[in-house]
Amino acid sequence: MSQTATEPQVKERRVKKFMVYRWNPETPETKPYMQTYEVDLNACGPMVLDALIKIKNEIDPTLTFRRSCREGICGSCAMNIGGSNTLACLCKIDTNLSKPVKIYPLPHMYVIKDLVPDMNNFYQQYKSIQPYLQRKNEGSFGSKQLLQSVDDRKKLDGLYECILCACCSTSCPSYWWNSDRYLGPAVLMQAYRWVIDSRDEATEQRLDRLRDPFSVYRCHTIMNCTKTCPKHLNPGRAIGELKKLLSGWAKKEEAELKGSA
Amino acid sequence: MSLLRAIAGKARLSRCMLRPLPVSVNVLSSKHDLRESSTEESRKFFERNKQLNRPMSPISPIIINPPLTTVLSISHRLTGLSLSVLVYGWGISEIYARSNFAQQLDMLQATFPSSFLATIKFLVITSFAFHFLNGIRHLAWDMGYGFTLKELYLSGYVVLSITLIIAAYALSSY
Amino acid sequence: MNSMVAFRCLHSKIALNLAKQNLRNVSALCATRKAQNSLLSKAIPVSTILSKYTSSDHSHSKLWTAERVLSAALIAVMPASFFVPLPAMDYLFALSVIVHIHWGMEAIVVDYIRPSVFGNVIPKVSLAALYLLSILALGGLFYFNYSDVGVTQAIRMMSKI
Repeated sequence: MSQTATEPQVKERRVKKFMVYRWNPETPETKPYMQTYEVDLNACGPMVLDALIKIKNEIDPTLTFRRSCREGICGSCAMNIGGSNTLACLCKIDTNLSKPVKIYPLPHMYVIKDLVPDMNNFYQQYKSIQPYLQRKNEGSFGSKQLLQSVDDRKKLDGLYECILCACCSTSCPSYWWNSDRYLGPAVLMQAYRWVIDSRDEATEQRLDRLRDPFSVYRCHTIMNCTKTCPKHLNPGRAIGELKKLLSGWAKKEEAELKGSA
Repeated sequence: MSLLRAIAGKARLSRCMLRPLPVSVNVLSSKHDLRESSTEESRKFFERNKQLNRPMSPISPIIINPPLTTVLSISHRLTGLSLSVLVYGWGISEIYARSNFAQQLDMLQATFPSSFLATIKFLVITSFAFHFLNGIRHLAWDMGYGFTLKELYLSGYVVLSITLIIAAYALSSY
Repeated sequence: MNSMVAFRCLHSKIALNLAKQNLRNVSALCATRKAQNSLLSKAIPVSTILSKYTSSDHSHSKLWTAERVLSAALIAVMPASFFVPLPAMDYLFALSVIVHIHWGMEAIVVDYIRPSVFGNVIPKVSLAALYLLSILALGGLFYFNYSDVGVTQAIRMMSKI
């Protein structure tokens, strides 16, 4: 029995160009350059991270970038895509095939390799704001729960969800020029998060540590941070509230529920 | 009796030693200690990176296609800077002025073509209008208003629109 | 009695171990405290106008508040000086504008002229130069108010060119 083999449906390839920043520390004399990869979008997931992983798996295994959760919660794949800092795993590939996607590491950071920046200064700044609960009495911690009303807990919404991806801080021109002394929006939002936590009792000390001309006051409300946050948080507002607290215009409200049970 | 007291005493002592050493607010929070150690860490970070000759990632992706937030903020600074240069220039030149102001104006009109002066006037009025309106936007932020992304863009476009209207009016200086 | 003695022996052994551990913790804490104190003894420079920005030890919050208060006041002072043509208003206007400009320029100088790029001397010199320019400009405008038509009248005249 003769069978006319049906031609398998060959979908037309949708080829998208990806221009990616490359630099190899093992050949440091070679200046950073842009390398173009072509990816068939029909054989690739919808997000930029899918394309990067596909490139690494099938085309160029030397392409180096951080990634982990692939769902926008770990913050590893933060990079500059198409001019904005965002998470590659949450950034949909623009299906317009005539324009290439330009992928750079987070701006004004020392590059370890390709798309991997040195985050140590950022982490050190986070450590410096003492991001943990501090209570006055030196009793044994952990034996009783510290009470917090529903309204006081609501004040932390929009602050605690920060995944420390550094998209905001690296979009801030003040952080570009003064990252040695200015803390940057991500760290300042966390500083605010601990200042307004009703259970925290070190408010005065926390605010005092921020009074110098550089830690907070290099912020000139440029607001790139809020524009770029991939988790839709608002670091600019948090810094504004922090400035109000520092000036005395606003005061931290009394906790509605105090003590432990 | 003494045995009981001895046991009780030892139990008290043991209880003291069983209590964990607390991390109290005061030990760690000395402003100077923390700042010194974090400045030290920061210095080491920059030294190590300089030593390794690592490149700095470019800022061009953001500044080539800047978001509205960037554009309005740098414009606020640039208009402020240019108006400041004019005011300081005028103020300092008045120390050395030999004539009164009416005569200085006449000299200006004699030295420069009227189109040039009209352009300067137009730029000054437009820059001042933008700086003034965006300044009000800044003061609203400082009081805590207008921080959502929607409000940011809305207030930004309002400032730009009013500036354009004033610029159109300023064109009558020609 | 034997079990009592055994119990007390065990109890004291545990207590002794805990005491040793605590002592280690305390001495570690003391060591860091000592190290931190020795860092503390490296004195941060004495406060002067210029080291206000070069040493990160001054409280900036009052200056920030003053900047905002002045900016808000300027919104009222500017039209007021045109509607109330008194010499005092001219001086107030000139003073407010110069201080506002000075604080704005100070922010620019501190932002961009940084020790990491320009070394330790140039930032201090730039700040000093800015203070000098501000004083000169203020002097110039005050002199203008005193000996000439005054700033508000001058602006009216300039708008008629």
